[in-house]
Amino acid sequence: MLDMVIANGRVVTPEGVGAWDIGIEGERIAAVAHRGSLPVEGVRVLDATGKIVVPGGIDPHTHLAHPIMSHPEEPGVTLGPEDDTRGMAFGGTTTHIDFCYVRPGIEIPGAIEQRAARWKGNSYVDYAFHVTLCGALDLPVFDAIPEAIQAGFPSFKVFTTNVLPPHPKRQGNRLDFGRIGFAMEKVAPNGGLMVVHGEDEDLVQFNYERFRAEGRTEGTNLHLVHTKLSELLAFRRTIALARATSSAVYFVHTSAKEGVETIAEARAQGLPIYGETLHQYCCFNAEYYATPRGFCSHTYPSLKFPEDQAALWDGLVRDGLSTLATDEYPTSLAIKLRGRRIDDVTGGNVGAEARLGIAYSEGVVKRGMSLPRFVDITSANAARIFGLYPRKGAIAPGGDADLVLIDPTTTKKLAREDFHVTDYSPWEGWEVTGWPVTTLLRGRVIADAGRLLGTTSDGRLLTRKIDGAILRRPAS
Amino acid sequence: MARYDVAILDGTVVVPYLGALRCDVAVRGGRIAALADAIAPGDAERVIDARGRLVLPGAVDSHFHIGIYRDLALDAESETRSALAGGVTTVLSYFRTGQHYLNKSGPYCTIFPEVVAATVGHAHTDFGYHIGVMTSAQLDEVDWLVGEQGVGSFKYYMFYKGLNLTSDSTRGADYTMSDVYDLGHLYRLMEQVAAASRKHGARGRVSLSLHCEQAELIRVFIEEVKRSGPAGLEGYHRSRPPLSERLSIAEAMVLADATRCPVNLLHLSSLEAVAAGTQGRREHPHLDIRLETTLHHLALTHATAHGILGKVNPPIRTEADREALWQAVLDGRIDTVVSDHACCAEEEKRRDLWAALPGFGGTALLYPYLVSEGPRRGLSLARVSELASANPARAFGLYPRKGTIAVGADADLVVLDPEREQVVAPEVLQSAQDFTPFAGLRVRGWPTHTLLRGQVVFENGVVGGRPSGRYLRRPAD
Repeated sequence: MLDMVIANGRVVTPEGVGAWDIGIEGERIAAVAHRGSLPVEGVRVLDATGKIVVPGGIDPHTHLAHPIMSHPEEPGVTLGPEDDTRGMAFGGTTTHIDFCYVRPGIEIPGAIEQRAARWKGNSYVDYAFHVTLCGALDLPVFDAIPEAIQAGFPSFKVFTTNVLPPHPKRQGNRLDFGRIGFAMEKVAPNGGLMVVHGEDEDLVQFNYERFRAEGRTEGTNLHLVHTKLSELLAFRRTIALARATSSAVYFVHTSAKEGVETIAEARAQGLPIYGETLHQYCCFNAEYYATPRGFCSHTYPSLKFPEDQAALWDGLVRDGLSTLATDEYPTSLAIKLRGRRIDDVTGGNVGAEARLGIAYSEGVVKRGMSLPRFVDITSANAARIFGLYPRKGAIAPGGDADLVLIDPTTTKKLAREDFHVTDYSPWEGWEVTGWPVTTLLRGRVIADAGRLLGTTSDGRLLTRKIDGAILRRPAS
Repeated sequence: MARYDVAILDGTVVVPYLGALRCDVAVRGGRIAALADAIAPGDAERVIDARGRLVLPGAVDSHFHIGIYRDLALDAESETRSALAGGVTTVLSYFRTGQHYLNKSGPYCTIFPEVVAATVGHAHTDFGYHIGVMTSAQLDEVDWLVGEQGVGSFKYYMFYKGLNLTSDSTRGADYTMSDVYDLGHLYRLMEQVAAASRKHGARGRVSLSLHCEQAELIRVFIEEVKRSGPAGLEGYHRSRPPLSERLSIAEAMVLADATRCPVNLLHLSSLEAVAAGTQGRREHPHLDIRLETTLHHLALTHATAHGILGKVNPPIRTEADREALWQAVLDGRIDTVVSDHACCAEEEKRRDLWAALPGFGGTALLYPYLVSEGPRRGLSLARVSELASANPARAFGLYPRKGTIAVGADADLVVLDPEREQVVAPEVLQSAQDFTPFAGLRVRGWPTHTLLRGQVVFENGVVGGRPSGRYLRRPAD
């Protein structure tokens, strides 16, 4: 017996777009059927006339309740899931994947336990975690990798750079390439995948040194410190290591044309390499840094040049990149704009609420991205790559009823009151056509027409298992 | 009145790119009307019990040769019957002018309508044609074939510039009845196909298929094998070595890059061929290159293919090649698996190695062999359905009307019993062919029902009803 029918919408399924109705029973999709063919007596009908129905968004890259160390003397913490996932509910993201940082002195199981406890009862949407391996970790720490994969945490994040210059009060993020290779040796044969922030440490640190020496420390030079070449070098080095260990790699926040091309080349060789980019990398370039609120759109590595924006859009619209994420890092505007120098601009972004809307308006409306491709980059590919598919990321019987209704006729200039997380959004003033209006999480409407209907106890921890095909070949 | 025409209940539904779902499928008006956890039996005129069975999208056998050695209408009738028995509901067949087929040359504006007319009313499956462009005059017909006739794919045979079909003559032109059929012709053809792709490609893919073997190399290796052996199928393999595939793929890649022509590398048979195709993709990531292999190259070796009965171009090769092809299927480098079905009589095989006709049928084994062998090698059922149905449908402009199980798609469905085991013999395949090089192969997993656009056309081992296959225009209207 159905509990709800979403009727009269344009539905985007893995096989295409059609005028279909969706039947929901409990938390799951029970039927996809021709318009008007599902029994509706005594069933709640959600009329989706004129709306596009897509799977709930999946943001595979967020840093909530995360230490802010751009000003080590005044450390802070990003907003937690109780605040940020409210924006996700409004904006059509029903699952996010955050990180459990494992630094020297911390073990993998403890890190997972602690983050899961922090999220429990505090998220409006479902959540999962990557395990981040940082710093000079003792080798026995890596022995826990197979067990973590078994327990449903099969993705391991590493940084090839410390991102910022050394500071006595700041722990480095970098895992040396020896340990990255060692992690790959443990991850690959046990059904896991590597998640890599790829920048060349030598170039980045040298650039900091040089720009300081030359007195060019204004933050408007960030793209000359975190360079295109640095991305190229680190991606290539990582891929060589991945090839040697038969490891699958997901590159976070690809920012440069060189990154897109390197990923495309590896995929053409049949290697299981995946690329993510961020909506602010597609929509802004480094010239924006010079504007009054320019650093609102900064995320490390950096904004780049118009040719890079074009390559990122091509990778999203056509082929080459797999996902559009946020690198979510929610703070107040005061914290976000606190630093002005190349070594203290606060990175990250508050962008999850705008992600689906921007992808629709900029991708589908302006650049002709197909609706199935829109679903791939905002939801389905993240689900496939990180082992949530087809429970998440597809409108098909048996899947969780995580659904988003987009109103393609909405046109507006985004304003402060369109957002629900903090006191600013980098997207204020941006003109959009099409915007998410209704969000369902596992069969329940959690946001509708500007009203929040869900609670922080709705979100659940998801454990994951990655399909072997994803790990063997570029399958998403 | 019942809500649905047919309901397939309690099966495991294999959806390409999605996975295996436990759900019911309902059909109305020839299309899939619903996928649902539970459909009430009373809601359908006819119920098919699929408990313990798989429900797969009808296979799209995108490499077929209707009428190559027999009357076209007769061959269409018998060989698409064989297709249904194996769960194939769409056949994309190659046609060209020259010897065999209609044994004549001329413009396609008169010949192609003749070909379609001879197939309609005789095909049991839906069907489309790829066209070999054999003469310089036919180059000018490419745009017309795409735009007016629904032919979205073309073919070039890289070895016909200096070899006939059977390998007993180097006078390729006598065989193809071509004025000119060299790399220059291929270059011009790629230009034409690339232009048609730019013009019509928004409606679906337009592409050129390539038979990659190299005539000049084959000439010297045939001489060597004739001189010093070995005999039989191993000799045939040595006479048309993997090196010849590798070289012709390299040639084709250079021209595809220069013209930006989307290409399909057909029936890759060897480790070297797959490596060359992979290298082409690596060097030209902007090009649209699809890789195909065949059932017989995955299933047989020159030692197991019953001697001369297994003669085919490119030849059936070694166990190492077979394993390399399986590896490429598993790791995703191969996009499509096809039968290259060409119905041939045993008496045409029982000749001298060099004069025997190449090719044989295998379409009825497409799903059975892949379902039987794939999972034990780690290939998921979803991937089986991608290789045999969704990927060829996409490559040839038929997706998602064909090639998937989705609401709104044509109800081309196969109910398959994964436990049913049969040893392959000619009569099992229901083809007009009186032998099979697959004979003796133990295959587990056979269709119990095949539905074409909602009609049950194969059931209990019998193809029922009159041929109802329709001509498919590609890219779709």
